[in-house]
Amino acid sequence: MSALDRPVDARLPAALRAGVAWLCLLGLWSDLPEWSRCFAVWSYGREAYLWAPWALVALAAVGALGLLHDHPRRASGALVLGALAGLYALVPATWHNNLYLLWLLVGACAFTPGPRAGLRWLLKEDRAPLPDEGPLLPWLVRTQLQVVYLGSVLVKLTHPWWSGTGQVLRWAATVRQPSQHHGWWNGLLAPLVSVPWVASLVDVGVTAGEATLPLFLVSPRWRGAALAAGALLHCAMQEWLFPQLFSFLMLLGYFAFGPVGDRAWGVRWDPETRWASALGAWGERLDWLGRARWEPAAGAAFRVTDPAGRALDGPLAVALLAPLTPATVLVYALLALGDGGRLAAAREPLENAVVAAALVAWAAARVRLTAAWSAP
Amino acid sequence: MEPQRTWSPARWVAALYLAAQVVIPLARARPSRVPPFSSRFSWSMFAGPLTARCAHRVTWTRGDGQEVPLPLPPEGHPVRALLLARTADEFVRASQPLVTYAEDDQEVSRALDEVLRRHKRAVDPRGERVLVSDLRCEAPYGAPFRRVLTLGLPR
Repeated sequence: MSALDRPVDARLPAALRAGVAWLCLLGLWSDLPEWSRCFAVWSYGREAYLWAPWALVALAAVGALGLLHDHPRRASGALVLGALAGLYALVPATWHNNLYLLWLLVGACAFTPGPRAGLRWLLKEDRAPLPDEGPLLPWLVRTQLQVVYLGSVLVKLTHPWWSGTGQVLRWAATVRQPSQHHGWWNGLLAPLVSVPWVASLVDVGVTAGEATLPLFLVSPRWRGAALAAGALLHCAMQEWLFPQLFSFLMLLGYFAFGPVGDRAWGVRWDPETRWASALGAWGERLDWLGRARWEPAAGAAFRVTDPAGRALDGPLAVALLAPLTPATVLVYALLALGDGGRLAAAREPLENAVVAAALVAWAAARVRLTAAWSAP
Repeated sequence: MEPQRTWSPARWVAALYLAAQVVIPLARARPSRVPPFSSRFSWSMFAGPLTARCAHRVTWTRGDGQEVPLPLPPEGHPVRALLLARTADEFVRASQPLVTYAEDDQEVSRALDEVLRRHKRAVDPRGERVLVSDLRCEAPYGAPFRRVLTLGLPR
């Protein structure tokens, strides 16, 4: 039986559909300030038609809400696809390849068969089980991500700014980022990346990474390492370059490569401890892919056990659970895009700090988990 | 007799989905664009903001050749900032809504021409003035370019 015939646990497609719809709404919201200026220029001298691009944005938002609800799935998806295509036809200046990736993923989510779920179902405390569905949507998402990486490598190998020269990275660090963004990662990176040989090295490293990721992602042996490396790459790109929707669409797509419903992790919390009970209840609710066994039990206040049987106690253990659910990506996207670009001067440094803290917490939890295992 | 092998609808959808992603960038490939896959329909970071730094100057003259002040759109309108931009920094900021994510740096001049034509029609419906736009751009890793647009030459 090939990968295109084997049924999959429907929780994965449900999470992918809700995630893409959520990112569509956030993408529309965060593009509005930029688009309103594009519309003003487009309608200059023909002000009577200014309503037309705004109407298309509104239709796309209505369609995205329908997709988030997962009903009516096809009509909602068609509305988003039609409205975004119409917007491109009317005001080409609004279009970006992030929107192209979103457009393709919306198409995949809307026109693949499967049981109805939606965000409301995902957020329910007691989710009724869904029947398995065809594997088409996860397969399309996985393939799409691999196409993105391979296409990007092709561009990097042929573009005179890349091709191992590192020119574009130096330009981004010294010209583009200081004039367009307010995050502090660029302040740390710019002195390094503006050194020609460092920029060349990073250029070759990124190209090599993007060329090998699609291969490692399909290898059962290397998939875990590839997912971690790819997630770090996208977090770094997001926090340095702020490429709108791109990072979140890719990070959400990574879940199509991972296991579903394996209950390989264990979470135990003390029902007598308030913070631990709250964490346990919310964690279980947000474990959309069924990756952990959740049990209230006396003992440690909050304990997470990994698939190898190693345990970590305390609130820091939550950092180990965050990468197991697509909900993390949706919250991250809300942090990055929720202000709609209106508070970028304050939000970008805050986003840098929150993501750095989350990565440090995750790394510390992994180190403590390993140390606990190797200790006598 | 061997059973006939058929493709399921899922396979057809998958094949079409992938074919579209190869066909669309190829159909839009132009020899003048480097590289051919850099576009809003591909996976390049260079369907991105303009990299060119441009100096722009607009002159507005009467039929007898005398320069007069250019009529401007109301305060706060993005086209006003575009018409007033002189330095490269001002022009980069003002030209973002023209081609927020340009496929190439020269796209800015094509989009600017279109806006200037509409401005000329709006402020000079009887065609009594001449608008000259002089745009000079330098891209950090591309060829510099210049274009002069004259609208409303005396008949």
